[in-house]
Amino acid sequence: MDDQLKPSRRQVVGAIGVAPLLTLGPTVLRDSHSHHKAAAPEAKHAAKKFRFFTEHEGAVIKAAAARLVPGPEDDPIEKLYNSPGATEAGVVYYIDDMLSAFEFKVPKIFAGGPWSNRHLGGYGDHENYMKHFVPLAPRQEWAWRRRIAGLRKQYRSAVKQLDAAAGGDFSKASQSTQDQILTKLGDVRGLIFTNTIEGMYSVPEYGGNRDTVGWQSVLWPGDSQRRGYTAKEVETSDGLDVVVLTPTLNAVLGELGVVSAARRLRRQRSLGVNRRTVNDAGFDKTEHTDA
Amino acid sequence: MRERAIVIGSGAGASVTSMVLAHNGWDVVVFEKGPRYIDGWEKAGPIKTVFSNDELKFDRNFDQPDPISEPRTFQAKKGGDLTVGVVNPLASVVGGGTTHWDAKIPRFWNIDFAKKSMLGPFPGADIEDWPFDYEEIAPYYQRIERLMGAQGDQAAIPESTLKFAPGKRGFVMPPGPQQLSSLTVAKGCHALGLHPYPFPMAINSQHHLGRPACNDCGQCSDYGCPIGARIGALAIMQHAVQTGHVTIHADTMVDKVIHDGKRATGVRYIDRRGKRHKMDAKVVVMSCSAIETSRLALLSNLPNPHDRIGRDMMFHNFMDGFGIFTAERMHAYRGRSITQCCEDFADPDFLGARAFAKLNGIPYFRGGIMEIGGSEDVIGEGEELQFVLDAVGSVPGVQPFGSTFKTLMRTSLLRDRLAGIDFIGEDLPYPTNRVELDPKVKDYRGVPVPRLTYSQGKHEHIASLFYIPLITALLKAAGADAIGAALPESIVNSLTGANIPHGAHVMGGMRMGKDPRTSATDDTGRVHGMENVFVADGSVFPSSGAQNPTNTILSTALRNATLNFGHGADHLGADEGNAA
Repeated sequence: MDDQLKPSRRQVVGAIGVAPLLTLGPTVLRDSHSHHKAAAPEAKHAAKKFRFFTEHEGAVIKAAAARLVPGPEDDPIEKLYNSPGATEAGVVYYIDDMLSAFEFKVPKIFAGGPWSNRHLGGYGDHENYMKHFVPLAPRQEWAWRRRIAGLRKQYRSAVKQLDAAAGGDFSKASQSTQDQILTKLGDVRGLIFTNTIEGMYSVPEYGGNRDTVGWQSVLWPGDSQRRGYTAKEVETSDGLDVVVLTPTLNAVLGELGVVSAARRLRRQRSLGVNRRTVNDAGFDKTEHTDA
Repeated sequence: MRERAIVIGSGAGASVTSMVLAHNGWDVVVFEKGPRYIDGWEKAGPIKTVFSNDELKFDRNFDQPDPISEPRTFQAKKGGDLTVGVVNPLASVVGGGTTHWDAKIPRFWNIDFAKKSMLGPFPGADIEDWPFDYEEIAPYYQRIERLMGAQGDQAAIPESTLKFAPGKRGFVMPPGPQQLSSLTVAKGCHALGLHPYPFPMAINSQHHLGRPACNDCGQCSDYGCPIGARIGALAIMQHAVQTGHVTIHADTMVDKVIHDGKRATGVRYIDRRGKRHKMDAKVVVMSCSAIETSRLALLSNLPNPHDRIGRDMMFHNFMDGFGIFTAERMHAYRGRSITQCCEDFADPDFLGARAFAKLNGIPYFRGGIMEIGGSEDVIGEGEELQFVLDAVGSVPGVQPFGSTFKTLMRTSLLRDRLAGIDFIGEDLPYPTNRVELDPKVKDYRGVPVPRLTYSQGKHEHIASLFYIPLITALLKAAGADAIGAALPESIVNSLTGANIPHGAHVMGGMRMGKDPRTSATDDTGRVHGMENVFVADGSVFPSSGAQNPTNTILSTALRNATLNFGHGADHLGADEGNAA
C-alpha cells in the first residue's frame, strides 16, 4: 500500500471504534464501552418491516435472540458493560433477510468483494463493494433454495414450539420463563442461537451486526481491508490484559476436551446450519437422491 | 494446426500442466466445475475479485461445493454408518484450492520419495518408493517456488530440515511480519530444542509482478485474498493463458472421459444449464483433486484390472493443539494465517521415536510439520462456544447462553487469547482407505457422488500418542496457562460422532508406479493401459509426506508434464530473472 494512502492508527481507531482494543482489562473496557454509539436505543430502526416473519413471529424470534445474546436492556451484567446484544445488532432482521434471500434482486447469500471500505475514512475510492451481492452459480442456487425452504419450515415450527411452551405468546413471557423454555428446547435453541451468532458477528451487509456493534462487543475490529495491520501490530503484544477467572471461565477451561471436540467439528466444517446435510436441514433425503 | 488437449480442473496440477501443454504446441481447453471469482490474473498487474474478509460467506460455502447440491458420503469402515454431507472438500473455483489456501509451500523430504528403500515396509500399508527421488524433483521445486512468488528465508532453514530437503529454495522475497502468536509458540519450540523458522509461503511480502504486498489483513486461510497478494496457481496459469492458446470454461463439469479402453477421444461435459455436450481431444488430463479425479476415473470406466483406482487415499494425521494465554491477547487475527513452522517431528529418528515404535510393535512412525500460532475467527469462536456450553451446561449455575456466552466472547479464551498448533502428521497409504462411487447418492446434476471409506491405522495412532505430550510440553514452555492437545481419535469420536478427515490435504487414489498391479498411473502420471489420459494432482502421490502437499503437487505436475509433453516451458521459472 502506498504510504500516503496509509491512515494513521488514530484515524483508523476513530473510524471503526476499536478503542477498547488498546485498553487494559475490564474496568477500562467498561468505561470505553459506555460511550460508543453501540448501545443506542433501537427506536431509530423500529420502522423496519419483516419480509418473511409475521409481526408475531418476528417478536418471538427477537425475544429469543435477546435471551441468547443479551444487550444492556436484557441483562444486568450487559448493562454494566453497556454491551450490545442481538436486539441492538438487529439479529432478527439478519435472520429474516436470510429466510427471504431470494426476494432480493441478487439473492442475499454471498456479500460482494473485495472490501467494504468501512474503515478507510478517506483514501482510495469509497465504494462499499460488499453491498453488491454475488450472483449465484447454478449449483449454489439449487442448494440455497432448498436450504432456505428447510429453514423456513424450521423457524415456523420453532415459533409454534416456543409459544406452546409459554402457554401463549413467548415474546410476552417473563425473562426467566423465556430462559427456562430455551434451556429446555435444545433443538430450537440450537437453530436460533447459531443464526444469532452469525447475525451478531458477520459483516453488516447481511442485515445484522448493525453499525458493527456485534464486533465492538467482542473487541474485534472486523474486516480490515484495505488497511490491514502494520508490522508492529502483527508482531508485538498490545500489553497486559489479564483475565479474571470467574466460575464460568473456569468451567470452560476445565473442559478442554470438549473445546478440542468443538474445534475439530469446526475444522471438519460440521458446525453451523449452513454446513449441515440435507436431512438435517429439514427435508426428505429421497427428494435429494432422486434429483 | 494445434491439436486439442483437455484439462479437467483449474487448480494446482491443472495450471502447471496447461502451461507446459500450451508452450509445447497444444491448444488447451480447461473445464472448471466451479465459478470464477478473480479477474485480471491473466497478465501481470492488479486483480479484481469478489473474495473478501467475510467469514460468513465462506461458512456458506461460497467457494466450496455445497453439501446440499454436491455432498459426498463417508464411512469409517466398509458397511459402517454412512454420513452424507461435507467430506473434506476443496475450493472448486477457477484456481482451485489455491484460491482459499494460506499458501504454505514447504517441500517434502527425501525419505518421502524413497519411503520403501529408506524406511522399509509397514504392515498393512502400501509402502512404495515414488518413481523419482528428491534430487530429481528439487529443480522443479525451485522453478515452482519462483513462479508462485515465494517468500522465505534460506538462511533461516534449519539443518534439521536441510539434511532431508537440501538445496536452495526459489524464494523471490523475504518473509513478512511474524505474528505474535507464531513467535510465542516458537519460543516454546526453542525451549524444547526444536527448530522453528519462517514458513515458506506463496504470498507477496513485496510488490511483485504488478501485485501488491500482503497487508496482513489476517483473513488468509479459508479465504480468498481480496488484494491479490496471493493468487495461488493462477500465477502459473497466467503463463498458460499468455500463449493465447488456452480457453477456460467455468461452471462446467466433465462427467466422463470418452474412450475405447486404450485411447480417449474426448470428454462429455455438463454446462451451466445442465445440458450435456461432447468435445474431442487428443489428450485428456484429469486434475480435479484426489477424490474428484478418482470419482471421474470410476465414472468413466477407465481400465482398472487390478482394482487400484481410488485406493490408498491419504489425508494427513491432523492434530490440533492449542494454548490459552490469560495475561495478554495473542491477536492471531492479524497477519498471514500462521507465519512459523517447525519440522522436527517429521523425523522418524526424533529422540525416542524409534524406541516408542519398537515398544508398540511397529517398525517406525513419523509426525509431521507443525504450523504454529494460528487461531479461530469470530463466528467460529461463537459456534465453538455454543457447542462447549451445550456440553458443559449441566454444571450448576452455568447457563448455556446469555451473559455466560457474552462473557466468554469478550474474554475470548478460544480466539484472541489462543495460539494453536496444527500438527500435520504423515498418513500412511492403506488400501482399505478408498474412494468409490456411492451406489445411491447423486449430486444435483444426477451424477453419483464419491463415497469415502477411511480410518486411521496404527502408524497414525502411535504417532499421536507419542507427540501429544510433546505438543503439550512446548505450549507450556511457550507460557500458555491452559493447554489442550489433540485427543486420541477414540475420544474425539465419542464426542463428535463420525471422524471425518478434514484439513483439505487430499492425496492418493491414482498413485504413480511402474507396476500396474500396485498403482493406477505410470511413472509419469499416465493412466495405466491408456495412451493419452494423464493425471496431474495429489491423487498420484504414493505417500502423503509430512508437509503441506501443494508445492509437491505443483512440482510433480511440472516434472510429469515436461516428460510427457516436452521442454517448451523449461525457461519459465528457470532463474530469478524469468520469474520476476
